[in-house]
Amino acid sequence: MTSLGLKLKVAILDRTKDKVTNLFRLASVMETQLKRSYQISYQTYINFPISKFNNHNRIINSGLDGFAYKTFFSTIKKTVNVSFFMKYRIVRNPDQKMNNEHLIQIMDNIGEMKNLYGFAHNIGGSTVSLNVSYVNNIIQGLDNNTIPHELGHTFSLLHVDDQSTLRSDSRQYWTHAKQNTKDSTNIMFSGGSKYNTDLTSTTVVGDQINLLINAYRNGKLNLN
Amino acid sequence: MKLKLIPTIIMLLIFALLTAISYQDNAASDGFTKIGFPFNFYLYSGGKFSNPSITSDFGFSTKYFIADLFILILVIVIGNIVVNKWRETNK
Ligand SMILES: [Zn+2]
Repeated sequence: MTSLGLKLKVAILDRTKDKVTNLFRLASVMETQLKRSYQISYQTYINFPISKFNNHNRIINSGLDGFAYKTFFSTIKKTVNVSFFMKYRIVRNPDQKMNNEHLIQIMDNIGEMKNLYGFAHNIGGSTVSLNVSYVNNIIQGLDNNTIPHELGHTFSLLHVDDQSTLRSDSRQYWTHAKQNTKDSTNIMFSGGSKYNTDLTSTTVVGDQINLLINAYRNGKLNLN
Repeated sequence: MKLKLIPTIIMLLIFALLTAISYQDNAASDGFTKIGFPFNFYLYSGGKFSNPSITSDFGFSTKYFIADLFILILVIVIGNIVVNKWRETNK
């Protein structure tokens, strides 16, 4: 069994004119929702090197290539337990965001934010904008999807149902048959999907955590 | 009126540059993907909206595409008139 700790540092900023949001309550709800979605236990297959040097002491004769021993990879099944930790602070302007932090900013319902729940500024990025008009629903527990979903984008996750996902990272694309399973409550359905609901789109699958780990290892997370 | 090659190419390039500068590709993370100058003839977002009328405008818009082309032609024609006038006064 393997334990995986996801640690997120957040700077929360209210950029609205009226500043009516209770940022402490929002932070507390964020943490609850992120734990609910990302703290999963899943089974995964990992490649495990086997050679004469490791504990298994298996000697593989490579035969025709002339070398006596050869490392090869055997696939083993592992259980991964994910823990999610969040630390936050409230900031007064975007410049106060530090490099090791995500910025969560609350915006007025105007311009490009008009009627849009929220968006992540980049895939693998570190800034999320939330529309103040829907933040109250998040705080009241009526919207359990927006925060895990937008942060999912910053963790490199794409929409499982979007045709553009098929082009940019086909591993993340789910066929109609796969969408219509117990995983239809996944957080990463696009806004237009019939499976995306504020209240119940809250789950994450092991493959998505594996993608997150890979993106992190390849330096594709915590970008600007 | 005869179109001059170089001013026309310069105006086409400027228009292409403005189209490239105004291009946005944030649909994958719930922002907007926008193409077109001065009007977006392609608009899309994967985000969640409370008002369905916004998403009904998504996709390719023939209306705005023609409007952009019309403005491009207008800019080329007016640009050529200005260049011709300027050349005549500076003869
Ligand atoms: Zn999204």
